Amino acid sequence: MLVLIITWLINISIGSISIPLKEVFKFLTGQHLENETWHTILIQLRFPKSLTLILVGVGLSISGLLMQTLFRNVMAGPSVLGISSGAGLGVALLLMGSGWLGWEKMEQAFGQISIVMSAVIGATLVLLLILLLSLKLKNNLSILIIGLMLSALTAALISVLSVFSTAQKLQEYLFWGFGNVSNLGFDAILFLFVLITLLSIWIIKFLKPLNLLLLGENMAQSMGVRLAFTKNSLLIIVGIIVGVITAYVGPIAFVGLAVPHIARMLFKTSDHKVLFPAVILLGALMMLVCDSIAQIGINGQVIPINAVTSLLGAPIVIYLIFKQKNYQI
Amino acid sequence: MIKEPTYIQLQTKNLSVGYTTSGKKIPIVDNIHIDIHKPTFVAILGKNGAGKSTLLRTLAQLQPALSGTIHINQKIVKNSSNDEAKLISVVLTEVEKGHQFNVYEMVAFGRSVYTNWIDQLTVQDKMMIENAMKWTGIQHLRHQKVAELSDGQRQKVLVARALAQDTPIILLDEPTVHLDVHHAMEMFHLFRKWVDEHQKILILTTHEIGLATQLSDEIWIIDQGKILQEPTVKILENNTIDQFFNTELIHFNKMIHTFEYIKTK
Repeated sequence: MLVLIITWLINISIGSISIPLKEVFKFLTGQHLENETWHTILIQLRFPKSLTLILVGVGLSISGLLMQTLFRNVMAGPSVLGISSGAGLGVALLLMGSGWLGWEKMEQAFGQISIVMSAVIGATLVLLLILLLSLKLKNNLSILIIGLMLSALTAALISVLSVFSTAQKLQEYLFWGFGNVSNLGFDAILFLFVLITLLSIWIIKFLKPLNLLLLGENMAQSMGVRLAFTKNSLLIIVGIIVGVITAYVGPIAFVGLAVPHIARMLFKTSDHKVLFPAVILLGALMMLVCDSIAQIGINGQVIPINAVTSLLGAPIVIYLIFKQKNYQI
Repeated sequence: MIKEPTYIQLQTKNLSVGYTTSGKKIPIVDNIHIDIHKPTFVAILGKNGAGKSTLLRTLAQLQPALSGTIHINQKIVKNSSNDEAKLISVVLTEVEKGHQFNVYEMVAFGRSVYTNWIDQLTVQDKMMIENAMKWTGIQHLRHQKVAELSDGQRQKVLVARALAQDTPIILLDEPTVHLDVHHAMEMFHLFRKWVDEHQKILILTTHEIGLATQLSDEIWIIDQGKILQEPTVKILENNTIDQFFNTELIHFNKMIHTFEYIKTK
Protein backbone atom coordinates (compact mmCIF):
# COMPACT_ATOMS: atom_id res chain seq x y z
CA MET A 1 0.00 0.00 0.00
CA LEU A 2 2.78 2.37 1.01
CA VAL A 3 4.76 1.39 -2.05
CA LEU A 4 1.71 2.13 -4.14
CA ILE A 5 1.32 5.62 -2.71
CA ILE A 6 5.00 6.44 -3.20
CA THR A 7 4.87 5.15 -6.78
CA TRP A 8 1.79 7.22 -7.34
CA LEU A 9 3.56 10.38 -6.14
CA ILE A 10 6.60 9.65 -8.27
CA ASN A 11 4.41 8.98 -11.29
CA ILE A 12 2.67 12.31 -10.90
CA SER A 13 5.94 14.16 -10.47
CA ILE A 14 7.65 12.95 -13.64
CA GLY A 15 6.94 13.95 -17.20
CA SER A 16 8.26 16.39 -19.76
CA ILE A 17 8.25 18.96 -16.96
CA SER A 18 9.26 17.35 -13.72
CA ILE A 19 7.66 18.69 -10.60
CA PRO A 20 9.32 18.15 -7.18
CA LEU A 21 7.70 15.50 -4.98
CA LYS A 22 7.23 18.06 -2.23
CA GLU A 23 5.07 20.18 -4.51
CA VAL A 24 3.07 17.15 -5.64
CA PHE A 25 2.39 16.28 -2.02
CA LYS A 26 1.31 19.86 -1.36
CA PHE A 27 -1.03 19.69 -4.34
CA LEU A 28 -2.59 16.43 -3.22
CA THR A 29 -3.28 17.78 0.26
CA GLY A 30 -5.35 20.47 -1.36
CA GLN A 31 -3.00 23.41 -1.26
CA HIS A 32 -2.60 25.78 -4.16
CA LEU A 33 0.89 25.84 -5.62
CA GLU A 34 2.76 29.10 -6.06
CA ASN A 35 3.93 27.97 -9.49
CA GLU A 36 0.77 28.36 -11.62
CA THR A 37 2.12 26.27 -14.51
CA TRP A 38 2.80 23.35 -12.19
CA HIS A 39 -0.62 23.63 -10.68
CA THR A 40 -2.28 23.59 -14.08
CA ILE A 41 -0.21 20.63 -15.24
CA LEU A 42 -1.04 18.68 -12.12
CA ILE A 43 -4.75 19.33 -12.10
CA GLN A 44 -5.33 19.02 -15.84
CA LEU A 45 -2.86 16.36 -16.89
CA ARG A 46 -0.92 14.44 -14.28
CA PHE A 47 -3.60 13.90 -11.64
CA PRO A 48 -6.35 12.62 -13.97
CA LYS A 49 -3.79 10.52 -15.84
CA SER A 50 -2.56 8.87 -12.66
CA LEU A 51 -6.14 8.05 -11.66
CA THR A 52 -6.75 6.57 -15.10
CA LEU A 53 -3.62 4.47 -14.76
CA ILE A 54 -4.74 3.11 -11.40
CA LEU A 55 -8.24 2.26 -12.64
CA VAL A 56 -6.96 0.65 -15.82
CA GLY A 57 -4.39 -1.39 -13.90
CA VAL A 58 -6.97 -2.54 -11.37
CA GLY A 59 -9.59 -3.37 -13.99
CA LEU A 60 -7.32 -5.31 -16.31
CA SER A 61 -5.66 -7.23 -13.48
CA ILE A 62 -9.00 -8.26 -11.99
CA SER A 63 -10.11 -9.43 -15.43
CA GLY A 64 -6.89 -11.39 -15.86
CA LEU A 65 -7.30 -13.11 -12.50
CA LEU A 66 -10.91 -14.06 -13.22
CA MET A 67 -10.07 -15.38 -16.67
CA GLN A 68 -7.11 -17.43 -15.48
CA THR A 69 -9.30 -19.09 -12.87
CA LEU A 70 -12.30 -19.58 -15.16
CA PHE A 71 -10.18 -21.16 -17.84
CA ARG A 72 -7.76 -22.70 -15.36
CA ASN A 73 -5.04 -21.62 -17.71
CA VAL A 74 -1.97 -19.58 -16.87
CA MET A 75 -1.98 -18.00 -20.31
CA ALA A 76 -5.49 -16.55 -20.13
CA GLY A 77 -5.76 -12.79 -20.13
CA PRO A 78 -8.04 -10.10 -21.50
CA SER A 79 -6.07 -9.86 -24.72
CA VAL A 80 -5.94 -13.63 -25.22
CA LEU A 81 -9.67 -14.31 -25.43
CA GLY A 82 -9.97 -11.84 -28.27
CA ILE A 83 -12.00 -9.40 -26.20
CA SER A 84 -9.48 -6.59 -26.63
CA SER A 85 -9.29 -7.38 -30.33
CA GLY A 86 -13.06 -7.24 -30.54
CA ALA A 87 -12.96 -3.80 -29.04
CA GLY A 88 -10.20 -2.91 -31.49
CA LEU A 89 -12.29 -4.06 -34.42
CA GLY A 90 -15.15 -1.92 -33.23
CA VAL A 91 -12.93 1.13 -33.13
CA ALA A 92 -11.34 0.28 -36.49
CA LEU A 93 -14.77 -0.02 -38.09
CA LEU A 94 -15.65 3.37 -36.72
CA LEU A 95 -12.43 5.19 -37.53
CA MET A 96 -11.50 3.63 -40.85
CA GLY A 97 -14.73 2.12 -42.10
CA SER A 98 -16.99 5.06 -41.44
CA GLY A 99 -16.08 6.59 -44.80
CA TRP A 100 -17.67 3.92 -46.95
CA LEU A 101 -20.14 2.70 -44.36
CA GLY A 102 -21.69 6.16 -44.25
CA TRP A 103 -21.09 6.58 -40.54
CA GLU A 104 -19.07 9.74 -40.86
CA LYS A 105 -21.85 11.96 -39.64
CA MET A 106 -22.29 9.81 -36.58
CA GLU A 107 -18.60 9.87 -35.85
CA GLN A 108 -18.46 13.63 -36.15
CA ALA A 109 -21.51 14.12 -34.00
CA PHE A 110 -20.44 11.94 -31.11
CA GLY A 111 -16.64 12.03 -31.21
CA GLN A 112 -15.09 10.35 -28.21
CA ILE A 113 -18.32 8.70 -27.11
CA SER A 114 -18.72 6.94 -30.43
CA ILE A 115 -15.27 5.37 -29.98
CA VAL A 116 -16.21 4.15 -26.52
CA MET A 117 -19.49 2.77 -27.76
CA SER A 118 -18.01 0.97 -30.73
CA ALA A 119 -15.29 -0.61 -28.55
CA VAL A 120 -17.77 -1.78 -25.94
CA ILE A 121 -19.99 -3.18 -28.66
CA GLY A 122 -17.03 -4.92 -30.31
CA ALA A 123 -15.83 -6.41 -27.01
CA THR A 124 -19.29 -7.50 -25.98
CA LEU A 125 -19.96 -9.14 -29.33
CA VAL A 126 -16.76 -11.19 -29.10
CA LEU A 127 -17.62 -12.08 -25.53
CA LEU A 128 -21.13 -13.16 -26.48
CA LEU A 129 -19.68 -15.29 -29.24
CA ILE A 130 -17.31 -16.91 -26.74
CA LEU A 131 -20.16 -17.39 -24.29
CA LEU A 132 -22.29 -19.09 -26.94
CA LEU A 133 -19.41 -21.30 -27.99
CA SER A 134 -18.61 -22.15 -24.39
CA LEU A 135 -22.11 -23.57 -24.02
CA LYS A 136 -21.33 -25.92 -26.90
CA LEU A 137 -17.72 -26.59 -26.02
CA LYS A 138 -17.21 -27.64 -22.45
CA ASN A 139 -13.46 -27.76 -22.93
CA ASN A 140 -11.70 -24.65 -21.70
CA LEU A 141 -8.72 -25.18 -23.94
CA SER A 142 -10.91 -25.10 -27.05
CA ILE A 143 -12.41 -21.82 -25.91
CA LEU A 144 -8.95 -20.35 -25.46
CA ILE A 145 -7.96 -21.47 -28.94
CA ILE A 146 -11.14 -19.93 -30.34
CA GLY A 147 -10.22 -16.72 -28.53
CA LEU A 148 -6.86 -16.76 -30.26
CA MET A 149 -8.51 -17.42 -33.61
CA LEU A 150 -10.90 -14.53 -33.05
CA SER A 151 -7.91 -12.29 -32.33
CA ALA A 152 -6.33 -13.36 -35.61
CA LEU A 153 -9.61 -12.88 -37.43
CA THR A 154 -10.18 -9.36 -36.13
CA ALA A 155 -6.56 -8.45 -36.88
CA ALA A 156 -7.09 -9.59 -40.46
CA LEU A 157 -10.34 -7.66 -40.75
CA ILE A 158 -8.58 -4.57 -39.47
CA SER A 159 -5.87 -4.99 -42.12
CA VAL A 160 -8.53 -5.24 -44.80
CA LEU A 161 -10.19 -2.12 -43.46
CA SER A 162 -6.92 -0.22 -43.48
CA VAL A 163 -6.63 -0.76 -47.23
CA PHE A 164 -9.81 1.19 -47.79
CA SER A 165 -9.13 3.95 -45.33
CA THR A 166 -7.40 7.29 -45.76
CA ALA A 167 -3.92 7.84 -44.36
CA GLN A 168 -5.27 10.22 -41.76
CA LYS A 169 -7.87 7.75 -40.49
CA LEU A 170 -5.32 4.97 -40.41
CA GLN A 171 -3.02 7.14 -38.34
CA GLU A 172 -5.84 7.97 -35.95
CA TYR A 173 -6.50 4.28 -35.45
CA LEU A 174 -2.82 3.46 -35.01
CA PHE A 175 -2.49 6.08 -32.29
CA TRP A 176 -5.50 4.64 -30.50
CA GLY A 177 -3.79 1.25 -30.77
CA PHE A 178 -0.66 2.54 -29.02
CA GLY A 179 -2.71 3.17 -25.93
CA ASN A 180 -3.25 6.57 -24.43
CA VAL A 181 -4.04 7.11 -20.80
CA SER A 182 -3.91 10.92 -20.71
CA ASN A 183 -7.04 11.82 -22.65
CA LEU A 184 -9.69 11.03 -20.09
CA GLY A 185 -11.78 13.80 -18.59
CA PHE A 186 -12.94 13.68 -15.00
CA ASP A 187 -16.41 12.47 -15.95
CA ALA A 188 -14.94 9.48 -17.79
CA ILE A 189 -12.67 8.75 -14.83
CA LEU A 190 -15.60 8.94 -12.44
CA PHE A 191 -17.55 6.57 -14.68
CA LEU A 192 -14.65 4.10 -14.74
CA PHE A 193 -14.28 4.37 -10.96
CA VAL A 194 -17.95 3.71 -10.25
CA LEU A 195 -18.08 0.88 -12.77
CA ILE A 196 -15.00 -0.92 -11.45
CA THR A 197 -16.04 -0.42 -7.82
CA LEU A 198 -19.50 -1.84 -8.42
CA LEU A 199 -18.20 -4.81 -10.37
CA SER A 200 -15.55 -5.48 -7.70
CA ILE A 201 -18.24 -5.63 -5.04
CA TRP A 202 -20.08 -8.09 -7.25
CA ILE A 203 -16.91 -10.17 -7.65
CA ILE A 204 -16.48 -10.42 -3.85
CA LYS A 205 -19.63 -12.55 -3.84
CA PHE A 206 -17.83 -14.99 -6.12
CA LEU A 207 -14.55 -15.35 -4.20
CA LYS A 208 -15.63 -18.65 -2.63
CA PRO A 209 -16.86 -20.26 -5.89
CA LEU A 210 -13.67 -19.04 -7.60
CA ASN A 211 -11.57 -21.03 -5.13
CA LEU A 212 -13.71 -24.11 -5.68
CA LEU A 213 -13.47 -23.69 -9.46
CA LEU A 214 -9.72 -24.20 -9.18
CA LEU A 215 -10.43 -27.77 -8.05
CA GLY A 216 -12.17 -28.51 -11.32
CA GLU A 217 -15.72 -27.93 -12.48
CA ASN A 218 -17.04 -31.31 -11.35
CA MET A 219 -15.64 -30.83 -7.89
CA ALA A 220 -16.99 -27.28 -7.68
CA GLN A 221 -20.39 -28.46 -8.82
CA SER A 222 -20.46 -31.23 -6.24
CA MET A 223 -19.79 -28.62 -3.60
CA GLY A 224 -22.82 -26.58 -4.54
CA VAL A 225 -21.34 -24.07 -7.00
CA ARG A 226 -23.94 -23.03 -9.58
CA LEU A 227 -21.64 -23.58 -12.51
CA ALA A 228 -23.40 -21.89 -15.42
CA PHE A 229 -24.50 -18.89 -13.36
CA THR A 230 -21.04 -18.37 -11.88
CA LYS A 231 -19.19 -18.74 -15.17
CA ASN A 232 -21.55 -16.50 -17.12
CA SER A 233 -21.60 -13.79 -14.47
CA LEU A 234 -17.83 -13.69 -14.31
CA LEU A 235 -17.47 -13.66 -18.10
CA ILE A 236 -19.90 -10.74 -18.34
CA ILE A 237 -17.93 -8.84 -15.69
CA VAL A 238 -14.72 -9.43 -17.63
CA GLY A 239 -16.35 -8.34 -20.89
CA ILE A 240 -17.63 -5.08 -19.47
CA ILE A 241 -14.38 -4.16 -17.74
CA VAL A 242 -12.15 -5.00 -20.70
CA GLY A 243 -14.48 -3.43 -23.25
CA VAL A 244 -14.80 -0.12 -21.45
CA ILE A 245 -11.12 0.12 -20.55
CA THR A 246 -10.00 -0.74 -24.07
CA ALA A 247 -12.37 1.85 -25.47
CA TYR A 248 -10.99 4.59 -23.29
CA VAL A 249 -7.27 3.91 -23.35
CA GLY A 250 -6.68 1.47 -26.21
CA PRO A 251 -5.53 -2.13 -25.95
CA ILE A 252 -3.06 -2.37 -23.05
CA ALA A 253 -1.26 -5.68 -23.36
CA PHE A 254 0.13 -8.01 -20.70
CA VAL A 255 -0.98 -6.19 -17.55
CA GLY A 256 -3.99 -8.46 -17.12
CA LEU A 257 -1.86 -11.50 -17.83
CA ALA A 258 1.20 -10.69 -15.73
CA VAL A 259 -0.23 -9.15 -12.56
CA PRO A 260 -2.12 -12.24 -11.27
CA HIS A 261 1.09 -14.26 -11.71
CA ILE A 262 3.10 -11.73 -9.75
CA ALA A 263 0.47 -11.81 -6.99
CA ARG A 264 0.63 -15.62 -6.78
CA MET A 265 4.41 -15.55 -6.64
CA LEU A 266 4.48 -12.93 -3.88
CA PHE A 267 1.77 -14.45 -1.71
CA LYS A 268 2.34 -18.12 -2.59
CA THR A 269 -1.33 -18.95 -2.51
CA SER A 270 -4.26 -19.70 -4.78
CA ASP A 271 -6.81 -18.29 -2.36
CA HIS A 272 -8.84 -15.62 -4.11
CA LYS A 273 -9.58 -13.96 -0.80
CA VAL A 274 -5.89 -13.04 -0.76
CA LEU A 275 -5.31 -12.77 -4.51
CA PHE A 276 -8.20 -10.43 -5.27
CA PRO A 277 -7.03 -7.53 -3.07
CA ALA A 278 -3.42 -8.31 -3.99
CA VAL A 279 -4.20 -8.05 -7.68
CA ILE A 280 -5.96 -4.73 -7.18
CA LEU A 281 -2.90 -3.23 -5.47
CA LEU A 282 -0.36 -4.76 -7.81
CA GLY A 283 -2.38 -3.87 -10.90
CA ALA A 284 -2.44 -0.22 -9.96
CA LEU A 285 1.26 -0.36 -9.11
CA MET A 286 2.18 -2.05 -12.39
CA MET A 287 0.42 0.57 -14.52
CA LEU A 288 1.99 3.44 -12.57
CA VAL A 289 5.45 1.95 -12.94
CA CYS A 290 4.94 1.30 -16.67
CA ASP A 291 3.74 4.84 -17.26
CA SER A 292 6.62 6.31 -15.27
CA ILE A 293 9.02 4.38 -17.48
CA ALA A 294 7.13 5.54 -20.57
CA GLN A 295 7.42 9.14 -19.40
CA ILE A 296 11.13 8.94 -18.70
CA GLY A 297 11.38 7.53 -22.18
CA ILE A 298 14.45 7.36 -24.37
CA ASN A 299 16.33 10.59 -25.03
CA GLY A 300 13.39 12.61 -23.90
CA GLN A 301 11.01 10.86 -26.29
CA VAL A 302 7.93 9.44 -24.58
CA ILE A 303 7.35 5.76 -25.41
CA PRO A 304 3.78 4.48 -26.03
CA ILE A 305 2.58 2.88 -22.80
CA ASN A 306 1.49 -0.29 -24.59
CA ALA A 307 5.08 -0.91 -25.64
CA VAL A 308 6.26 -0.57 -22.03
CA THR A 309 3.66 -2.95 -20.62
CA SER A 310 4.63 -5.55 -23.22
CA LEU A 311 8.35 -5.01 -22.70
CA LEU A 312 7.94 -5.47 -18.95
CA GLY A 313 5.07 -7.94 -18.87
CA ALA A 314 6.24 -10.50 -21.40
CA PRO A 315 9.63 -11.21 -19.75
CA ILE A 316 7.99 -11.33 -16.32
CA VAL A 317 5.59 -14.05 -17.46
CA ILE A 318 8.36 -15.99 -19.19
CA TYR A 319 10.55 -15.72 -16.09
CA LEU A 320 7.77 -16.88 -13.80
CA ILE A 321 7.01 -19.91 -15.89
CA PHE A 322 10.65 -20.92 -16.11
CA LYS A 323 11.25 -20.37 -12.42
CA GLN A 324 8.53 -22.70 -11.26
CA LYS A 325 8.80 -26.07 -12.85
CA ASN A 326 5.26 -27.15 -12.18
CA TYR A 327 3.55 -23.86 -12.59
CA GLN A 328 0.33 -23.69 -10.64
CA ILE A 329 -2.53 -21.23 -10.63
CA MET B 1 -42.80 -50.56 20.88
CA ILE B 2 -39.36 -49.38 19.91
CA LYS B 3 -39.42 -46.57 17.40
CA GLU B 4 -37.11 -47.06 14.42
CA PRO B 5 -34.65 -44.20 14.11
CA THR B 6 -35.26 -42.22 10.92
CA TYR B 7 -32.37 -42.38 8.52
CA ILE B 8 -31.79 -40.71 5.23
CA GLN B 9 -33.34 -42.47 2.26
CA LEU B 10 -31.89 -42.78 -1.20
CA GLN B 11 -34.12 -44.12 -3.94
CA THR B 12 -34.23 -44.20 -7.70
CA LYS B 13 -37.16 -44.99 -9.95
CA ASN B 14 -36.55 -46.46 -13.41
CA LEU B 15 -33.20 -44.76 -13.50
CA SER B 16 -31.31 -45.13 -16.75
CA VAL B 17 -27.79 -43.78 -17.05
CA GLY B 18 -25.53 -43.19 -20.04
CA TYR B 19 -24.43 -40.50 -22.44
CA THR B 20 -26.04 -38.21 -24.96
CA THR B 21 -24.06 -37.84 -28.16
CA SER B 22 -25.34 -35.40 -30.78
CA GLY B 23 -28.90 -35.66 -29.55
CA LYS B 24 -28.91 -39.45 -29.38
CA LYS B 25 -29.25 -41.09 -26.00
CA ILE B 26 -26.85 -43.95 -25.48
CA PRO B 27 -27.88 -45.85 -22.36
CA ILE B 28 -25.21 -47.77 -20.49
CA VAL B 29 -27.20 -49.18 -17.60
CA ASP B 30 -31.00 -49.43 -17.57
CA ASN B 31 -33.66 -50.07 -14.99
CA ILE B 32 -31.83 -49.14 -11.85
CA HIS B 33 -33.99 -49.36 -8.76
CA ILE B 34 -32.21 -48.23 -5.65
CA ASP B 35 -33.93 -48.29 -2.31
CA ILE B 36 -31.69 -47.61 0.66
CA HIS B 37 -33.26 -46.47 3.90
CA LYS B 38 -30.65 -47.23 6.52
CA PRO B 39 -26.88 -46.78 6.91
CA THR B 40 -25.35 -48.92 4.21
CA PHE B 41 -21.95 -49.54 2.67
CA VAL B 42 -22.44 -50.31 -1.02
CA ALA B 43 -19.69 -51.46 -3.36
CA ILE B 44 -20.34 -51.19 -7.09
CA LEU B 45 -18.35 -53.78 -9.01
CA GLY B 46 -17.93 -54.31 -12.71
CA LYS B 47 -15.34 -54.64 -15.39
CA ASN B 48 -13.68 -51.61 -16.94
CA GLY B 49 -16.18 -49.63 -18.98
CA ALA B 50 -19.20 -51.41 -17.52
CA GLY B 51 -20.70 -48.12 -16.37
CA LYS B 52 -19.82 -48.00 -12.67
CA SER B 53 -18.58 -44.45 -12.77
CA THR B 54 -21.44 -43.36 -15.01
CA LEU B 55 -23.93 -44.55 -12.41
CA LEU B 56 -22.00 -42.92 -9.59
CA ARG B 57 -21.66 -39.62 -11.45
CA THR B 58 -25.36 -39.63 -12.26
CA LEU B 59 -26.25 -40.19 -8.61
CA ALA B 60 -23.89 -37.30 -7.80
CA GLN B 61 -25.75 -35.03 -10.26
CA LEU B 62 -22.59 -34.53 -12.26
CA GLN B 63 -24.28 -35.82 -15.37
CA PRO B 64 -27.97 -35.94 -16.24
CA ALA B 65 -29.93 -39.17 -15.99
CA LEU B 66 -31.20 -40.39 -19.37
CA SER B 67 -34.54 -41.18 -17.76
CA GLY B 68 -35.97 -41.89 -14.36
CA THR B 69 -35.59 -40.01 -11.11
CA ILE B 70 -33.39 -39.90 -8.04
CA HIS B 71 -35.04 -39.29 -4.68
CA ILE B 72 -33.50 -38.30 -1.39
CA ASN B 73 -35.91 -38.46 1.52
CA GLN B 74 -38.76 -38.90 -0.97
CA LYS B 75 -37.88 -35.67 -2.74
CA ILE B 76 -36.71 -35.67 -6.35
CA VAL B 77 -33.18 -34.36 -6.76
CA LYS B 78 -32.86 -32.34 -9.95
CA ASN B 79 -29.63 -30.43 -10.17
CA SER B 80 -26.75 -29.61 -7.94
CA SER B 81 -27.20 -26.78 -5.50
CA ASN B 82 -25.80 -25.82 -2.17
CA ASP B 83 -28.64 -27.68 -0.43
CA GLU B 84 -27.89 -30.79 -2.38
CA ALA B 85 -24.20 -30.47 -1.50
CA LYS B 86 -25.20 -30.76 2.14
CA LEU B 87 -26.71 -34.17 1.37
CA ILE B 88 -24.22 -35.72 -1.03
CA SER B 89 -20.45 -35.45 -1.08
CA VAL B 90 -18.41 -36.82 -3.95
CA VAL B 91 -14.87 -38.13 -4.32
CA LEU B 92 -13.69 -38.35 -7.90
CA THR B 93 -10.57 -39.98 -9.26
CA GLU B 94 -9.50 -37.02 -11.31
CA VAL B 95 -8.64 -33.78 -9.57
CA GLU B 96 -7.14 -30.55 -10.81
CA LYS B 97 -3.57 -30.11 -9.65
CA GLY B 98 -3.08 -26.65 -11.10
CA HIS B 99 -3.33 -24.75 -7.84
CA GLN B 100 -1.29 -24.05 -4.74
CA PHE B 101 -3.73 -25.12 -2.04
CA ASN B 102 -2.27 -27.07 0.86
CA VAL B 103 -3.79 -30.16 2.45
CA TYR B 104 -5.52 -28.25 5.23
CA GLU B 105 -7.10 -25.78 2.80
CA MET B 106 -8.21 -28.66 0.60
CA VAL B 107 -9.90 -30.54 3.44
CA ALA B 108 -11.40 -27.24 4.61
CA PHE B 109 -13.13 -26.89 1.25
CA GLY B 110 -15.41 -29.66 2.47
CA ARG B 111 -16.80 -27.17 4.94
CA SER B 112 -17.40 -24.48 2.32
CA VAL B 113 -20.93 -25.80 1.91
CA TYR B 114 -21.68 -24.53 5.41
CA THR B 115 -19.48 -21.45 5.71
CA ASN B 116 -20.56 -17.88 5.08
CA TRP B 117 -19.82 -15.89 1.93
CA ILE B 118 -16.26 -15.11 2.95
CA ASP B 119 -15.61 -18.77 3.81
CA GLN B 120 -14.95 -18.18 7.51
CA LEU B 121 -14.40 -21.37 9.50
CA THR B 122 -16.19 -21.72 12.83
CA VAL B 123 -14.84 -23.71 15.78
CA GLN B 124 -17.07 -26.58 14.74
CA ASP B 125 -15.80 -26.41 11.15
CA LYS B 126 -12.21 -26.59 12.39
CA MET B 127 -13.06 -29.56 14.58
CA MET B 128 -14.60 -31.40 11.63
CA ILE B 129 -11.52 -30.67 9.50
CA GLU B 130 -9.15 -31.98 12.20
CA ASN B 131 -11.36 -35.00 12.66
CA ALA B 132 -11.43 -35.77 8.92
CA MET B 133 -7.63 -35.51 8.73
CA LYS B 134 -7.26 -37.76 11.78
CA TRP B 135 -9.57 -40.40 10.30
CA THR B 136 -7.60 -40.54 7.08
CA GLY B 137 -4.21 -40.18 8.81
CA ILE B 138 -3.03 -37.13 6.90
CA GLN B 139 -2.49 -34.72 9.81
CA HIS B 140 1.25 -34.68 9.24
CA LEU B 141 0.71 -33.50 5.66
CA ARG B 142 -1.39 -30.47 6.55
CA HIS B 143 1.04 -27.81 5.31
CA GLN B 144 2.04 -29.65 2.13
CA LYS B 145 0.73 -28.51 -1.22
CA VAL B 146 -1.84 -30.93 -2.63
CA ALA B 147 -0.16 -30.82 -6.02
CA GLU B 148 3.12 -32.07 -4.54
CA LEU B 149 1.67 -35.19 -2.87
CA SER B 150 1.85 -38.71 -4.24
CA ASP B 151 -1.29 -40.00 -5.97
CA GLY B 152 -2.10 -42.16 -2.97
CA GLN B 153 -1.69 -39.35 -0.47
CA ARG B 154 -3.80 -37.08 -2.65
CA GLN B 155 -6.53 -39.69 -2.72
CA LYS B 156 -6.62 -39.70 1.07
CA VAL B 157 -6.88 -35.92 1.08
CA LEU B 158 -9.86 -36.09 -1.26
CA VAL B 159 -11.56 -38.63 0.97
CA ALA B 160 -10.83 -36.42 3.99
CA ARG B 161 -12.41 -33.50 2.16
CA ALA B 162 -15.58 -35.50 1.59
CA LEU B 163 -15.64 -36.65 5.23
CA ALA B 164 -15.33 -33.03 6.33
CA GLN B 165 -18.35 -32.20 4.18
CA ASP B 166 -20.20 -34.51 6.60
CA THR B 167 -23.09 -35.42 4.32
CA PRO B 168 -25.49 -38.30 4.98
CA ILE B 169 -24.64 -39.71 1.55
CA ILE B 170 -21.08 -40.07 0.31
CA LEU B 171 -20.20 -41.26 -3.19
CA LEU B 172 -16.67 -42.32 -4.09
CA ASP B 173 -15.35 -43.18 -7.54
CA GLU B 174 -12.56 -45.73 -7.16
CA PRO B 175 -11.23 -44.13 -3.97
CA THR B 176 -8.43 -46.67 -3.50
CA VAL B 177 -7.18 -46.96 -7.07
CA HIS B 178 -3.82 -45.31 -6.33
CA LEU B 179 -3.28 -46.90 -2.93
CA ASP B 180 -1.13 -49.91 -2.15
CA VAL B 181 -2.78 -53.02 -0.66
CA HIS B 182 -2.02 -51.98 2.89
CA HIS B 183 -3.51 -48.51 2.52
CA ALA B 184 -6.45 -49.72 0.47
CA MET B 185 -7.38 -52.11 3.29
CA GLU B 186 -7.04 -49.32 5.81
CA MET B 187 -9.27 -47.11 3.69
CA PHE B 188 -11.99 -49.75 3.36
CA HIS B 189 -11.85 -50.28 7.10
CA LEU B 190 -12.27 -46.54 7.54
CA PHE B 191 -15.33 -46.54 5.25
CA ARG B 192 -16.89 -49.37 7.25
CA LYS B 193 -16.31 -47.49 10.50
CA TRP B 194 -17.60 -44.23 9.03
CA VAL B 195 -20.86 -45.87 7.95
CA ASP B 196 -21.34 -47.59 11.31
CA GLU B 197 -20.36 -44.76 13.62
CA HIS B 198 -21.89 -41.87 11.72
CA GLN B 199 -24.90 -43.65 10.16
CA LYS B 200 -24.05 -42.78 6.58
CA ILE B 201 -24.90 -44.16 3.20
CA LEU B 202 -21.61 -44.79 1.44
CA ILE B 203 -21.48 -45.93 -2.17
CA LEU B 204 -18.21 -46.58 -3.94
CA THR B 205 -17.01 -48.10 -7.16
CA THR B 206 -14.01 -50.35 -6.89
CA HIS B 207 -11.94 -53.12 -8.39
CA GLU B 208 -11.00 -54.35 -4.90
CA ILE B 209 -13.47 -57.23 -5.02
CA GLY B 210 -11.94 -59.01 -2.06
CA LEU B 211 -12.19 -55.98 0.18
CA ALA B 212 -15.73 -55.31 -0.99
CA THR B 213 -16.91 -58.83 -0.17
CA GLN B 214 -15.35 -58.58 3.28
CA LEU B 215 -16.54 -55.16 4.35
CA SER B 216 -19.56 -53.99 2.37
CA ASP B 217 -23.24 -54.49 3.17
CA GLU B 218 -24.44 -54.61 -0.40
CA ILE B 219 -22.78 -55.36 -3.69
CA TRP B 220 -24.07 -54.09 -7.01
CA ILE B 221 -22.57 -55.73 -10.06
CA ILE B 222 -22.89 -53.95 -13.38
CA ASP B 223 -22.48 -56.15 -16.44
CA GLN B 224 -23.62 -55.66 -20.04
CA GLY B 225 -26.12 -52.94 -19.30
CA LYS B 226 -27.71 -54.74 -16.37
CA ILE B 227 -27.33 -54.24 -12.69
CA LEU B 228 -27.57 -56.90 -10.01
CA GLN B 229 -28.12 -55.63 -6.50
CA GLU B 230 -27.77 -58.08 -3.61
CA PRO B 231 -26.70 -58.09 0.01
CA THR B 232 -23.05 -59.06 0.24
CA VAL B 233 -23.88 -62.17 2.26
CA LYS B 234 -26.08 -63.44 -0.54
CA ILE B 235 -23.49 -62.64 -3.17
CA LEU B 236 -21.02 -64.84 -1.32
CA GLU B 237 -23.56 -67.56 -0.69
CA ASN B 238 -24.49 -67.87 -4.35
CA ASN B 239 -20.93 -67.57 -5.66
CA THR B 240 -22.14 -64.64 -7.73
CA ILE B 241 -18.66 -63.17 -8.05
CA ASP B 242 -17.54 -66.23 -9.94
CA GLN B 243 -20.44 -65.90 -12.39
CA PHE B 244 -19.34 -62.44 -13.42
CA PHE B 245 -15.62 -62.33 -13.04
CA ASN B 246 -14.22 -65.81 -13.53
CA THR B 247 -12.23 -66.75 -16.56
CA GLU B 248 -10.65 -69.99 -17.57
CA LEU B 249 -7.65 -69.00 -15.52
CA ILE B 250 -9.02 -67.72 -12.24
CA HIS B 251 -11.85 -68.13 -9.79
CA PHE B 252 -12.89 -66.31 -6.62
CA ASN B 253 -12.07 -68.12 -3.39
CA LYS B 254 -14.71 -66.82 -1.01
CA MET B 255 -13.00 -68.31 2.04
CA ILE B 256 -10.05 -65.99 1.68
CA HIS B 257 -11.80 -63.32 -0.45
CA THR B 258 -9.20 -63.52 -3.17
CA PHE B 259 -9.01 -64.58 -6.78
CA GLU B 260 -6.70 -67.49 -7.37
CA TYR B 261 -5.44 -69.43 -10.32
CA ILE B 262 -7.27 -72.59 -11.15
CA LYS B 263 -4.71 -75.32 -10.69
CA THR B 264 -4.29 -77.29 -13.83
CA LYS B 265 -3.28 -80.90 -13.76
